[in-house]
Amino acid sequence: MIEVLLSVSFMGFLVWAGFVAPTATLFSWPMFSHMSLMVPELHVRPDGRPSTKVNVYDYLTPGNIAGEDILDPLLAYLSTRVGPVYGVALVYDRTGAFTIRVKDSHVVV
Amino acid sequence: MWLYDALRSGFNLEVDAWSIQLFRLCVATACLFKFVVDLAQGGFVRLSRDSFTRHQLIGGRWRRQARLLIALHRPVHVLRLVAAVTLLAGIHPNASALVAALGLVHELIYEYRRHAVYLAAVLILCLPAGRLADGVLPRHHMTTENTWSQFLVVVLTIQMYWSSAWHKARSHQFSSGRLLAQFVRVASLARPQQRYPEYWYPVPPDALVARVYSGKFWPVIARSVIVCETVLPIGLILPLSWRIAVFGGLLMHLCFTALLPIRLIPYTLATVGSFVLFNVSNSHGA
Repeated sequence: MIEVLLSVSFMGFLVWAGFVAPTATLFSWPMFSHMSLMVPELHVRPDGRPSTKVNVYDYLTPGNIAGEDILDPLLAYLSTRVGPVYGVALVYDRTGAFTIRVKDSHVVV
Repeated sequence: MWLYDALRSGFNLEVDAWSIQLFRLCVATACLFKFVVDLAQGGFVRLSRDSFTRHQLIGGRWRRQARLLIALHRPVHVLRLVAAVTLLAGIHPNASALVAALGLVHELIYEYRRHAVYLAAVLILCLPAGRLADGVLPRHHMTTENTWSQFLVVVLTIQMYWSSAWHKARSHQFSSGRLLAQFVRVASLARPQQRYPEYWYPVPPDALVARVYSGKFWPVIARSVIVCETVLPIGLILPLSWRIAVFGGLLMHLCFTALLPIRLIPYTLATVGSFVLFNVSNSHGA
């Protein structure tokens, strides 16, 4: 009887999580349904030294395709370790494609 | 339908232990592949000093537990690899499934990926199974000891497909084909920069890409995926259409795997492995 009760509760939770709850909820499965991807071209300029190109894939976990959501934390991380970051990023999202600029480790739209 | 019969009988319906034991082999192989690839791709030092992942963990919602999680990182990586091997070999399968699941949960804290959520969830749902293994290879044996676990994994898999189809159908970015086109484009540009190769096939020629982008290719593919994910669980649960559904599901997952081959192989192994759990009449006659 306890198994039946737990199963019915589990099914109720799955219906809520899968179709009603926000997409960040456990057992909500919005795989590939919403994405904001980017192609960044970033450079760091340490004080008094020439700029160096940043490869974001050196920092992301393997198999990750760079998303716009990673940009702010990555800029904060790089600015404290290697210096101010400059450059541009081509962003692809639900509205299409657009370019954002990065100046002194901050996104400038 | 056996799902209803199982629930109505309080899970006293006999099912063939062969089904969940074969599923155990698939999930264990998926975990082993994932854990070995993770180690080969620097997983052991992912939370080392000054890494970006560690920086995110310390600044994220788990910052209070970050020190403990970092201290546990390497032991957990070793333990979960051992657990995947013992699960594959059928040695203490329930304990092995629990350790492998905990290893995945640990990873989910610093890298939340839904394919890992599915792997961890099915491992946890296998825990109530009384006959998860009778040795290394699956054996035919009618029992009620696995019915509840089999029911729960099937219910979760159905919900996963329908929830995924629901979100995709509501997303104009996906249903218009734009997301797939964008993903393939960005992934092909990212390839030369990736530290560890993800793709086994070459970058498609520009002429082919241009032709595909301008046509109806991506919208048709996107809508086909939504239809497939909606219909697949129904096809799998009906004995008459089971074989066709397995073929269709396998084809769909091979297409998914082409998007991120290394990353999605474990997910494909686990989901395709779950197909065998849908049809109890199939395992009776096998």
